[in-house]
Amino acid sequence: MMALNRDFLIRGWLIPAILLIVFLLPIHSSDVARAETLVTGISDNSIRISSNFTGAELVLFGTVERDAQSIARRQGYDIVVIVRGPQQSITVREKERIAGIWANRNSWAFDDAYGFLAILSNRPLADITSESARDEFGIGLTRQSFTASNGNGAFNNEQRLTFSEALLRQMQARQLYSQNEEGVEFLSDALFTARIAVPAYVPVGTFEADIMLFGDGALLAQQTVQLDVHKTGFEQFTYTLATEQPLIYGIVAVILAVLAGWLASVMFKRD
Amino acid sequence: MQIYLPIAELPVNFFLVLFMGGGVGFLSGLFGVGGGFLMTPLLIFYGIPPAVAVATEANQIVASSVSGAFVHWQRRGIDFKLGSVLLVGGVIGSVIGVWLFKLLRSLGQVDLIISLSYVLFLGIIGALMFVESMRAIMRARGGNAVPLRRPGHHNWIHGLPFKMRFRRSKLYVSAIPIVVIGAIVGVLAAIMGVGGGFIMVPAMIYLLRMPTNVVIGTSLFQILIVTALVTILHATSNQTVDVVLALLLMTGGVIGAQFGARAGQNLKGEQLRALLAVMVLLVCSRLAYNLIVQPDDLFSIAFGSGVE
Repeated sequence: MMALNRDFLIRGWLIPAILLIVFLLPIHSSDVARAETLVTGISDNSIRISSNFTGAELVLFGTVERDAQSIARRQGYDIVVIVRGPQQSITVREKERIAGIWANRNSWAFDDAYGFLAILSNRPLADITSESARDEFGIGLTRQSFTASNGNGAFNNEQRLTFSEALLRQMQARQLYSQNEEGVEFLSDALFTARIAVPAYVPVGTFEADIMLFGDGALLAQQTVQLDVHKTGFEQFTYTLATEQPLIYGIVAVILAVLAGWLASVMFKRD
Repeated sequence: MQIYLPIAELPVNFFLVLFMGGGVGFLSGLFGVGGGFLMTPLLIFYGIPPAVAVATEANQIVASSVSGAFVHWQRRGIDFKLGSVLLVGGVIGSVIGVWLFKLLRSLGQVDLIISLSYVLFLGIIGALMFVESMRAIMRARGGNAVPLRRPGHHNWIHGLPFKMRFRRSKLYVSAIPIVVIGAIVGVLAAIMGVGGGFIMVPAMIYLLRMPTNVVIGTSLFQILIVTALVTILHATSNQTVDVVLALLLMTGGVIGAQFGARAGQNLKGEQLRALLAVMVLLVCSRLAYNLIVQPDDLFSIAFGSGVE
């Protein structure tokens, strides 16, 4: 009975299952058909903001694996890394002189702008792939397509461009947006690393790092790594309380102030 | 050493902020003023978002007015009845102020209004104080002390209806000007992050003719309750109170105020006031300069769609 059972298991179930898995594999990993695969890793999948947070540096590394079908690429491999932070609405305002004073006048809202955007590559983006591919994959700070709306409801393409440029400029000044065409370094023909600087002003949320492998201008493989940025410990507690229980937070802030003032008057009591 | 502020969402230099709190605390102890009108602009110059600076400074003023209010309460220096009427205005004013603040924020105009209010009030107060102290110094040099003009017992305020009797202040006066003063101070506390003593004390002395022994105590009582309310209102409607920043400022502030109060005892009143006036005018002109001179980049960004 036992022998029959084992026989049944092996012949009747296990072998077809293995065959099925092997058969399914290429479908799940489309890279196999393209002959190159990317194997990547990141130094840290989560950035924790604690009281001593002044920014962080992520190290991304990876290797290009080739198989027998891989053909030699005339120009070698190129890597483009795009790290995108959580999408949020960002309002851009333009000052005008009104009665001698510089005051905000026109505004545009970019409703799905990234809170963080870093584009890194091993050489100039224009040399890596075609303009249409760069537009398609959002390769380049100026090639993002955020939904923009004018504060007055009027649509003016020229104005939209001016405000988009201002958005990029301001975000770059805060080091939240960056484009570094020497940010990816090839250590050998196949091994590469990229360093991503995360400034202290980074927004919290889920981040995605897209790693794209190009060869002779064509996208050969792509991988996405998720990471998250969150406040931790006291920072997390304070922030959560302030946003989710603002009334309690406000009362606690007042009680703390009263205690601090009372403590000071006791400590410095004059004789 | 850097410390990350959880609500302002940026790191600041721990010792520098402590030192700022201490410096302003020293000056407030020296001159016997609240210091909110110096601290809020200083925080904005440092790079703290104006909305956070205002709300957090209101929180700090709660701490700095507690001990003073307590001392005056023990000395029976608070007219609680008049203080309560002031508070009726204070509550209305701070609710309006925080609502206005939120509205201006969504319109992208809050920074401008904060700056403009400061330029206006610091300019007026600084100029008045400067002129007054210069006259006092000249008089002292001249040697002939001019007697203070005794305020008359009646002015137009006393013709208004809804009169109430305030026993401790020995006043029989209309409730209207008291509520209005309270409301103005409430609005200023919410929009500028100040206690408002610089408006309230002169108004109490010159408009209401309150006796000086209850003026400071009663105004501190009003400031304490109004800034506490403003803190809670800003926390609930704007989420801009940064407790970590407030605690740093409080720590520096209370220590600085002790040294300031001691140093003040060795200086002449009119010279102190002239010095304070010069400082107020300096802060005022720095803020005015920022409004008038063309900024390097005309564009600015704000996170959030604006319409909340």
